[in-house]
Amino acid sequence: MVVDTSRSIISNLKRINLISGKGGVGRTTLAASLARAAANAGKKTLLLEIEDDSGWDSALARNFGRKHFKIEPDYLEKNLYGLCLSASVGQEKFLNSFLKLSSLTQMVLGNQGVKWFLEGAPAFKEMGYFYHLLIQMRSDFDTIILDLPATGHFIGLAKLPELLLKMIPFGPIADRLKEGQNFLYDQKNSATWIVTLPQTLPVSEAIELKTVLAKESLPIGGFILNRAPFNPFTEEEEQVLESLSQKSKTQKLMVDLERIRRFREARNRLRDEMKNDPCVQSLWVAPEAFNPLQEVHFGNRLQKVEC
Amino acid sequence: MLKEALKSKRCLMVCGGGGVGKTTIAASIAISAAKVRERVLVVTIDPAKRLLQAFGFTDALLNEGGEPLKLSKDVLLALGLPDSAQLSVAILNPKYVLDQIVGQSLSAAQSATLKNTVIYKEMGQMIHGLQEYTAYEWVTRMIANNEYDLIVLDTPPAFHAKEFFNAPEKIKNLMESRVFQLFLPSKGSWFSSMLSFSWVEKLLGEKVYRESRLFFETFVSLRDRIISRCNQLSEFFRMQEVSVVTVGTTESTPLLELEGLIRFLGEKRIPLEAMIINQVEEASDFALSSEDRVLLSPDLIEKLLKLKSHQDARSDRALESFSHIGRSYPGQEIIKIPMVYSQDGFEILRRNAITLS
Repeated sequence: MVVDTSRSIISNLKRINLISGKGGVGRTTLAASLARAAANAGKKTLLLEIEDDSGWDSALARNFGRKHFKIEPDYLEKNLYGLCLSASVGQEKFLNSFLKLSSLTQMVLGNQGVKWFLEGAPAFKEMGYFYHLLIQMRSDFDTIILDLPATGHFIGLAKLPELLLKMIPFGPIADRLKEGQNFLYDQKNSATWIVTLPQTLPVSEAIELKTVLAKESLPIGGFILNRAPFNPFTEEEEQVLESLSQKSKTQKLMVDLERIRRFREARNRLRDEMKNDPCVQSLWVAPEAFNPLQEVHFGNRLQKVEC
Repeated sequence: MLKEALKSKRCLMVCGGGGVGKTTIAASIAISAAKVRERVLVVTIDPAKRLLQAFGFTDALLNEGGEPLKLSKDVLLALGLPDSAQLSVAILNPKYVLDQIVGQSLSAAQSATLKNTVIYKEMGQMIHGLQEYTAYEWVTRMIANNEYDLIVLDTPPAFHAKEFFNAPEKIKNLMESRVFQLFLPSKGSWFSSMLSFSWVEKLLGEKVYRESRLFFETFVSLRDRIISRCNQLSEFFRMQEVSVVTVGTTESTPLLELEGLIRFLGEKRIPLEAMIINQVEEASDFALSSEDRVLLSPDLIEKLLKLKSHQDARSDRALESFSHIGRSYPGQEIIKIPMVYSQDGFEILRRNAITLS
């Protein structure tokens, strides 16, 4: 295996980057770090999240000393802007574009029936997010990074265009969905990054997610294997320790050797996946016990794993 | 006390954020319960089927309808249970439960019409809270049927753990919302219905509009039943025979999520049986024997000691975070589950179950 540290993940980012992964894998911190690193590299960067109605503070915005992001691009630091995708904002903007007259939109939105429809009707909430995202994709930002909600919901959002197009094949909604698809399905400009952990189940889930995305023809930037354990050993040393651990009574130290073994297993599985499936373009490893947001050279700390 | 709950309750709900090992804990609790209780069932609606795999079932055995599967004697023994224990596991299929509800409440012709609409087919994916709602439906039915003494429910993964508790209310709001009226023969004022009518039709196109009407016209007969069920279900977690357990870890993000969940439970006056803190790293008691010192190179020994100090620092952080939780919730039962590194899935469950007993 050759580890090439000279290439940074930042130079591998596309214009539109969707950061996905299960809850607890460190997805949000990575999204924030990637955005900051892209901005440091001189790209005008927009960091996005999807609103949630819990009323809790946003974990993403917290990284920038804010409780929430706003519904329009909000200046965070040099070259970096934050924004929260909102269903109702997206719906209103969509109606505006469709009705052309904002006073008419206000009248339609003011109608209780329509309000109930937009809030209650299945998938229209996602449609709102989708349209709000579409507006950002049309903008002049060099780099867009979207911190997606935990996997389950993302599959919903990724499948949304197809799902809705099945039901609404023509008309203004269908047109916007197709426009959004053109952005997201374009290999050159868009990529989904799958964040995962060096454990058996999270790796299986990352591979499952990859399969779903590939089926939807969404381009996949790569896997990011987060929290790689501290490992001072060479491969020969690991083998010596392995044989030692079988007869040794020092069970508890072997916990960390076990973590190293698991990491190696996870990395190899993902590497094999990459070899066998050309739709995965790269594999990156992020070491644990560093604070990526405070790392100036964050991009270099993520190591690219070659086949 | 969790110990008491395992002996007396009918349903234990295991909830918490993503990535904290909820499914493993639900399974461990069920094993622990099966030591003192007859007819225990652990159920999940996680489509990843991990719970079944954890108990050694292969994919070929997974049945569509989610009928509970009994653990074999070999598996019971491997889990540290007597072979007389009665432990079953089920994976819930929300679509199947919904089909059952439709089948019971509508005429054959009506339910066929409903099931044929695109909206119905895609409904599970589109309506937030529907999965959770079907889980409640299923669990309450299982309790009423009295086939199991205790049901341990692994709540579905969600954006926020509290969504599970809000699900009945969400579904109820949707059922009561006027979205139905947009598609049903109008009772409101002529002007307002014309306004919404024409826009919705224009927005969706004539064909989709017609299909939507068909869906809503049929589905409306189910509405009252679902609303009254939702009313009962929003009281479900406050019932005497039901207990709620939260799962979290000592990592900062899951911890924040756990704190939010506990605050939420307090606001909703939902009693909390116990907090389980999973995957707590422990310090190493590593020491090199004189034999090791001869065997290993000085370089390797130095690296091993470095690794040890690294691991100890990690465990210090975890323990500090754990005692912080203890101070934050005085009087609350908090159970620490040590991180188990093992390649043997049964061993992890067995050891967790011992910690919980």
